[in-house]
Amino acid sequence: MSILGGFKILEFNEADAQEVLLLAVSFAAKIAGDLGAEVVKVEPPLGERIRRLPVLPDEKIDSDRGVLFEFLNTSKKSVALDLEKPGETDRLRQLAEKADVIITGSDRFDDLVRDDMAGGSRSVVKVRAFPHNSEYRDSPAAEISILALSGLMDLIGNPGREPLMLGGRQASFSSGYAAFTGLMAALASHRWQGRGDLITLDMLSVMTWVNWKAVAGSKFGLSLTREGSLAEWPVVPCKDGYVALVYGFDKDFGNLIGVVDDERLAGPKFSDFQSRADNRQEYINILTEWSRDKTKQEIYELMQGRRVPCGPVLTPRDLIGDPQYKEAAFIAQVPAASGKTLPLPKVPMQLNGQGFNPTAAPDLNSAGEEFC
Amino acid sequence: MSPTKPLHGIKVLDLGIITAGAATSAMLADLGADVIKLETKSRPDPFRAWAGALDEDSPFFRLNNRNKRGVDVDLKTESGRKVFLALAAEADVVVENFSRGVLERLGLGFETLKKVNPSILLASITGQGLTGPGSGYVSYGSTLEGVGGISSLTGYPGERPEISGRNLNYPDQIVSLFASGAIIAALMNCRRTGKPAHLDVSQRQTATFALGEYLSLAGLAENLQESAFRRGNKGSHELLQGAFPTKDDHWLTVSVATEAQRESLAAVLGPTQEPEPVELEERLRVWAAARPAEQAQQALLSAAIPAYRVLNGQEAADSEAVRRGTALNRTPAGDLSKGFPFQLRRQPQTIFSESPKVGEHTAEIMAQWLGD
Repeated sequence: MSILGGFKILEFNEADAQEVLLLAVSFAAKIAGDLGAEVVKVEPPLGERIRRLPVLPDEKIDSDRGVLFEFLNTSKKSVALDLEKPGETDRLRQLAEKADVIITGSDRFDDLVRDDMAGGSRSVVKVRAFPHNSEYRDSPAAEISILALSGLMDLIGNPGREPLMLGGRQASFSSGYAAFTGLMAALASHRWQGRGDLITLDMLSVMTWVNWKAVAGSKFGLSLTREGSLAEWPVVPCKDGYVALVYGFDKDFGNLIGVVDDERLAGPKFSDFQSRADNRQEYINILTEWSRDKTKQEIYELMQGRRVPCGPVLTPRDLIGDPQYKEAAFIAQVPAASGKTLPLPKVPMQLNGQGFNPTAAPDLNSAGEEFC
Repeated sequence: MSPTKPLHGIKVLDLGIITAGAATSAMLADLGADVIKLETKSRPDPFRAWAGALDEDSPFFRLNNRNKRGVDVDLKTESGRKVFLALAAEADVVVENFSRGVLERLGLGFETLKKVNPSILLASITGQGLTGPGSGYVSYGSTLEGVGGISSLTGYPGERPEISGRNLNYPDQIVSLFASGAIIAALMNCRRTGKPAHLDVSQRQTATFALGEYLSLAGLAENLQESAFRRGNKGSHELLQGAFPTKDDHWLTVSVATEAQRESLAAVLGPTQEPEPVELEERLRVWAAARPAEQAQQALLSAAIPAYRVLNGQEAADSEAVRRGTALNRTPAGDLSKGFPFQLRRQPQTIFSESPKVGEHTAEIMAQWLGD
């Protein structure tokens, strides 16, 4: 299934671009590639450094296609250019002039946007870490920096202790999702208005947009911060891991009592929001007593069977074999550099029940001749 | 609305409620689509009365429904369904995030819609998908952090997983960043093929895709201990990373990824007085605890080291960098509004109207869309 066939996208970053930009730009271009657009990724002579970056410290990478690179660069073509050498910048501009959209963290292509009806319609989607006119415009940024400045870290962890990042690379990949939508806005402008545009995105704005309840909400009297282990929706241990016992409204709590079936929970100490807050630790202890000897799956089925919104904490390995994901054929198997096959989640959308199959990430400069 | 925004001329029927559905169609409205929010007085969007808002619509509702017009249609009555199907015949897209089966039970599912409009796009923003064992389960953002995999990566090293809880509901927010782009892509396909389509974007898949590299790693490295995946604020390859308490009781995030940054940090911290060598991180901890966050941040930033204080929502909203960005904006009446995750240069997105009352524009829409 391909729904963006016929569109040409150029992905480019300066060799010394910040890691968060490499990740966000690659993530957005990968989605467009998986949906069928032709994505040409320009890399420095020795390859983009994400090729050799580990997902976790103990990942041994013995090729120039580490797992992180494999995931972020499916359905792309690679062209290596050494912009120090004469003539190579001309080659880059030729590639850019053939593209419908250039997605980049660089300022190099701003002049290439054709937004006058006469000159055709090319767009640039430009990703930055911070707003271009902010005090931090030239400051270095890491994943943790953006989560800190957007207020997101303040929401996670225990009040008295170090606030926590969301696991993984969420600032880079949320920004990647937003950059993909920016790219689609550019393609829509190209196809339906016949004109291009310069679309700018900064990762701090994306994450403060994501964090709108705490940020915008603060202007309406809300002051949200992390509640840690005494939060209303606890994560409790169980036989083979953990389960998030979430309930929204009092009726959910009533259903939860039906499942746990412990008369202490039916008492006045837990009858409403405030009493539950006042007796939170006791409430969590009772739940933990009940969950200790049950598996994630047992608790999930028992709770959801009574319409209690409960979510087992599934690990990456759980997710690869997950029945819901098997049903949707959501996990693809893609040949990896090491000859093994790699489980990769597909783009999170199905159209008429059909998903979108990624092709393996490219070797360095594998499309060099094709685009020379 | 100016004639050349990317989605100018696209008509959207918005059945989206609370966050995921409503915020997705709000992004389409920002990009120029004509978005009509359908509710009825007896069953309005629950977000209108959220968090105890009584006389007027809650801030949560207003923040996610500006730039839309309102039509009063009761889908549970025969006449209401007739009006809805007449509007659907004229629409390009219907956006909805009801729990599974609600539309079908109303006799307004995809099979019915495509009879009245042979190239309609029905965009379902689901919890876990339209089909499969989990599709009928009750899902909130926080349960989906569990079953989506994010909370298994979030937490203090060696301790239980964390969820962001009611304050963030992370999958609820990022699904809109992606779904709006997915809708544009699917709509292009409907127009190209002249065929109707049912799009399914699930919060759960959107969360898992945003940690896809961990699935691949778990698939490749059988022996990897998954509890090692929860690393607090540690990075994957960073030499040093964390949040350090400061003299004025704030938390300063610091990330050192290169040898050059490590040397700059050592220089900023100055020579150690201790006889035996003290680890750099420990010296940083002592140094940060001895000075206010602002001073520590400036010293490290001027040495090109990513160091930023953890802000809460209020502080982020008031910060210069956020105010320079695109995440916050103002309605015509001057109220604070949720802005945009990215911005367009030629046709900037604006907030051109307040969120609608139920049925505020019924008469004008009937005239414009149905000509009666």
